[in-house]
Amino acid sequence: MDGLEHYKKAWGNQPQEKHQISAVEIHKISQSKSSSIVKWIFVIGLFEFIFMIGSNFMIDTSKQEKMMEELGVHTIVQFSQYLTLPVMLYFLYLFYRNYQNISITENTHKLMGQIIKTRKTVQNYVIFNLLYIVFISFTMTVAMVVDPQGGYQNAPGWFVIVVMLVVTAIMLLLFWLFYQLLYGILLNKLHRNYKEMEYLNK
Amino acid sequence: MLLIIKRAKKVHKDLEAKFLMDFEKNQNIVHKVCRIFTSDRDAHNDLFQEVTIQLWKNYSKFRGDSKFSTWMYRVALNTAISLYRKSTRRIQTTPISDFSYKIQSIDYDDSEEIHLKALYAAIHQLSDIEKAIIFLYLEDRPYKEISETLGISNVNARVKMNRAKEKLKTLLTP
Repeated sequence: MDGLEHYKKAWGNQPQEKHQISAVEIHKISQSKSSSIVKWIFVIGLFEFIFMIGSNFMIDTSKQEKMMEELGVHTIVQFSQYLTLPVMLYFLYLFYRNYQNISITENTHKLMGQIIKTRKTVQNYVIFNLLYIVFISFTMTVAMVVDPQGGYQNAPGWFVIVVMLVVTAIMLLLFWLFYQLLYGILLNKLHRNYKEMEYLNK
Repeated sequence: MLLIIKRAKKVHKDLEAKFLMDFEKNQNIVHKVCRIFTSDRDAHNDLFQEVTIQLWKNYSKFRGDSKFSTWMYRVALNTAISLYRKSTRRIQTTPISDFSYKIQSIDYDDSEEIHLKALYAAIHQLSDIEKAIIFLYLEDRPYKEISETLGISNVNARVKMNRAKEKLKTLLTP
């Protein structure tokens, strides 16, 4: 006896839905489009990849390139850009593989882990891109400070460092806020439930 | 070639017919999951739709080594806990009438109706995982199935069950 028998009995005796959904309606519903978290993660993830790749082509970087040439870092930046290509392909492959592995018929704990893993692949890709931005900023700052012509456009070294630091920090902050908002809305519930499961399995 | 396509279409139709029959017969499991995980009719319909989509999408993977209802518990709970977010989408079907708490047992008893109402109100205050555990307990599912459905050990399922029951009792005590 656990004190819940009356409630359990009431549960067992509860009525069925008054209007049962007919087979025709079930068929109609089963053909509609899913709006699950997994689908959103896939769509957003794909969009992020396209955006990151597209931004390399769509943004006019001729000014920056000219500046890099003047500073003598053009070759190293271009070379590093080629290196990011296989990394991006690897992330894309991981993302697709993890997405494919998500199975609703797995147990709850495993399913949550699979969803979080897929989302983390995109997160890592974004982190990689942000680190790349930091690397470019760092390379340019160093080049500006040690510029043999006495500082880029006659600006003192400390000023260049401060400006580059502020610009990089603002960029990173904006990205971070955007992600907090986007995935916060989407995955808050899932993270909360996953934490509870993890705690249970400790 | 045409014969292969025809055969494939027939297999698909047979599978679909079997799915619809299985689903129709067991749909109350999904309704009950929707009732404990949502608090209004629109959200109920929304979750019902998502569970239906997931069940059909994965039906070909259902090998029949467990009962359809057991498989349904898992997919329905997984959808409610991990896949579902309240959305604004509304389905265009005949609305399911509002759920009333009228008990339909032979020995009809007013107190059961009150108990059921209180029970749903208390369950709504539990966490998603606790809801799942209490739901499986109320549905008389064995511990083995509970631990396999949620992906926790048998011992942890028992521990969590006892805690969830205690919490439920506290919530039910005025």
